[in-house]
Amino acid sequence: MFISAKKRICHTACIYLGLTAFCGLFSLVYEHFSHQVYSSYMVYLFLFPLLGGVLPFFLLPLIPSARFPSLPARYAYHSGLAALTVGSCLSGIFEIYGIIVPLVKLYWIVGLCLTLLGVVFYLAQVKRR
Amino acid sequence: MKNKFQKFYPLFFGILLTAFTLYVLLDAFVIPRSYREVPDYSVQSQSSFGASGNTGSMQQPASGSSSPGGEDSVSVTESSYSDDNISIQITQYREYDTDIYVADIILSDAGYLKTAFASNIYGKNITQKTSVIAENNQAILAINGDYYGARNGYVIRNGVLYRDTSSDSAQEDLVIYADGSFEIVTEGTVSASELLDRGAQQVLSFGPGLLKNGEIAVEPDTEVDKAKNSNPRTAVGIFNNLHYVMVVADGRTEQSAGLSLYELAEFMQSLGVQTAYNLDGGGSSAMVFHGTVINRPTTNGSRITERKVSDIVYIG
Repeated sequence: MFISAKKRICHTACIYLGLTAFCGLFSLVYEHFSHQVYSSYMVYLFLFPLLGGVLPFFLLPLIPSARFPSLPARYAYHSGLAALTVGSCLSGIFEIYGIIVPLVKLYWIVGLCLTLLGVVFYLAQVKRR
Repeated sequence: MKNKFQKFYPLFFGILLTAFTLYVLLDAFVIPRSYREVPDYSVQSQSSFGASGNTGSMQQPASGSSSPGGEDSVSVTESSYSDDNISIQITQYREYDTDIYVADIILSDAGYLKTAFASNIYGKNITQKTSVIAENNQAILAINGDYYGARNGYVIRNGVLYRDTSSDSAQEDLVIYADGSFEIVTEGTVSASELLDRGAQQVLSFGPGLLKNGEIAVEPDTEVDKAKNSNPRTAVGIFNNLHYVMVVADGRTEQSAGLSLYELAEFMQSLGVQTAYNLDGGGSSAMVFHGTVINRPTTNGSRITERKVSDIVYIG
């Protein structure tokens, strides 16, 4: 892997690290004012950018055959993670408030599809090489 | 074209995600949707006393004047009401570091125990304060209901079936029959239509059931969804035939810690209640007596103000 590609990957991982911190802080503040009403969706909100962003993008440079993901792969993957994170945040808000909103399912469906699409694009890119 | 896509995709997706999220939030909390209008109770109660059934009319007491009781015999104080058909005594308790308001109710006919929707409309995000719905329906005493508009589950009100979709097979509902008796059922064991056929006048879907045959039906750590201890609570119960109790506990303030479901069940058991059921609590908890909110409802934290709700349970 080229040094510039490694830098770009590290840069992406750092952005996800920032998002993880933001999500953790957001859920901490939200739960603080929720009168001891808790939701796992809100408590573990930070896991989406952490496990989906920080971890894979920090580990990627360690794999010798790894490449910097192509633009379609990155766009699909980032979009999917964004949808999953927002979906988890909304699910937490609605669960704490005690209401059921069927539309939230769309975030999980679209998020999972886009994330998987990003992974498929990347694997195809690696295979082409 | 490809360059444009590369350039604008993040912006396009960001706008799409933001716009959709905004719509979901508005749909959940703001946009009102009217599904069905309820006939004007006050007009109907003047003109068709004794009407019942599932045609949209309310069941009313078979006898008596159009006012809740005989006007001549009405006696009202700050904490009590009585006439020929209704007797209400409100007592404030201090238990579990919490102010608890108890309305002891004796009726001559089950038809005086009623429910009402906000704006008399069955729908979503249609809300009014408990005191406003109470005033619109000339309620003597009212408490908040099950906030059906924000939840799934059976909705039968005043003998009319509005929703027959179950929220969860384990969901416990309170059924109030035409003779005024209470039963706690689980949605998985009976359909809403069957309950209507059995003579259900009201079905409230929040829960859980607190007392069954005078025994506590919740565990010390039982909670509503993810709610933990110490919250404002609303509950309704029955001692015996046509002798009811409505309970509202304050919470989330320095003066009142609030109750857990188990504490609420314990308290109602100590009163001698046989069947008790938990209604929507938290910021929704409110008790209105003769147009006055007698507890301290908390909306959005410690702000003492009534929250708008979907429905009420009332005497009138």
